[in-house]
Amino acid sequence: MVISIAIAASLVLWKAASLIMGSPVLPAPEKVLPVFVSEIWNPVFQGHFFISLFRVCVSIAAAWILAFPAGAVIGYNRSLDRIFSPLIFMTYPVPKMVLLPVIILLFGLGDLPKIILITLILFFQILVSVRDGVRNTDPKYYDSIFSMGGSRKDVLFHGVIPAALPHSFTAIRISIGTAISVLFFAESFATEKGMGFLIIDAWGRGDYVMIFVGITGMSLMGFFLYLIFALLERRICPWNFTDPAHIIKRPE
Amino acid sequence: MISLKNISKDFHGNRVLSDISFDLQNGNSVSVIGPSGCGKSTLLYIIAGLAKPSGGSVLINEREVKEAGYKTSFILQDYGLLPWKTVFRNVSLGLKIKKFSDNEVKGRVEKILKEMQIYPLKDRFPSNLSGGEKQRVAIARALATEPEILLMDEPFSSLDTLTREKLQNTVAGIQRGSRLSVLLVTHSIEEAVFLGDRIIVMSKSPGRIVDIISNERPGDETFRDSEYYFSQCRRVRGIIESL
Repeated sequence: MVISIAIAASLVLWKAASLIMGSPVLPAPEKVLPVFVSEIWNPVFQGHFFISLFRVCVSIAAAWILAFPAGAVIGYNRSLDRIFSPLIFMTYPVPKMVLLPVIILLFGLGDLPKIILITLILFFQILVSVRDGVRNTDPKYYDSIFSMGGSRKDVLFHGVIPAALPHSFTAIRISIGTAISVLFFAESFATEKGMGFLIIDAWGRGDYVMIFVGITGMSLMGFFLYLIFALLERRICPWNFTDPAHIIKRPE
Repeated sequence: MISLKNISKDFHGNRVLSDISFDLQNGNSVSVIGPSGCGKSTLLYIIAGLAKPSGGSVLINEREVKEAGYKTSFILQDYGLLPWKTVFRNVSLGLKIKKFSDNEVKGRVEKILKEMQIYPLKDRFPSNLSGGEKQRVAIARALATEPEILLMDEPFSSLDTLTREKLQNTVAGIQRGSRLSVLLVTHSIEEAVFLGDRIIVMSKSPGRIVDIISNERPGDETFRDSEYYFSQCRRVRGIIESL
């Protein structure tokens, strides 16, 4: 219901902007959406869509696999934190997108440089969120595990990792928009595959409707990825979605 | 039996505990009471093996405590329940750490949850429990491993009076029917008198023992209505006020 209202509101805003601008550069949704629906069945469009989806999914997975354990360990271990925090502090603000030419020169023109670039950007976002999340977790939880005779490994598996998981999901959800933007940038030159290429190619031909078909495709990709990660978070971190309201009425 | 021998603790050059010595016999209980910042909680952390004393030693059954969880279960302030584990998994954690088989874990946890009257809550997360329920879960978790010594750090401080008294009765009942030793740190004079066979009064920082009061308590709720209980409360209050 909420999603339907949000989609309807987006379409109304789009239509209003199109009417206000009155320019073919911003075509109305009723012109774009029928073309988009027909393109969904077009193998060429599908090829662009799925290669982009593949690149962004592999990048998210790679960034998570690398950043989650690193962030959890750095956040928990003060000695490691003292060593790595200055390094993160120095490298996090560096705009990684400027590295694209270097990455292309080193890794060629295929999927790999695009995946590396997106992974690099997401890596730092997940790393910083997880590290901060673990650092801010109340140490009483770790004491509680130690007090039962737990080892550092028990604290890691029963304390640090579950404490860090919601932070990694938050970071991924926030990063999806960034990932899609970087994907567009990485696909906008030196390639002939992907939604970024589709949009840039349509731009070159002055096909404004096709530009918006590409934009719609990338937006839906971002939307569904966000939805999938929100559902995954609910499934994997159910304690974050409990409703304490009912306990008010329950007697002791 | 626990023996504390000349325990002291320094934090960043400041002495917070000084020359703490006492014994706790099997099946007995001790309440430790004193002003804020006198090192009561630190003392429990040392006995639990979570902190090292700067001087002295803690012996449990003649063996020096060098690691956490040796014969003890510790109920931390604010319960220490892991928010990401259900009631069942919180209570089973100690048994899992001690490598009990899955069947044994299930049997023991279900038994203690039923005894503590929280079995219907087994699939809830701590955020979905009231304060009293959380404390019952914390007690169940502490008792699931069948410890010899139960350490409690202001266990009932955030509960309303009736719930607090109910849970004090529960702890007294559990202890009466077993050889469990209980060491309780509290701010509440009434709680210290109700639950302690001896009441240790500590001074302001650095915490020292200023008095050890013997307490002939029957260990049931009728104790609260007795003149002896009120006189013991007045006696402890007098000592604390004179600090």
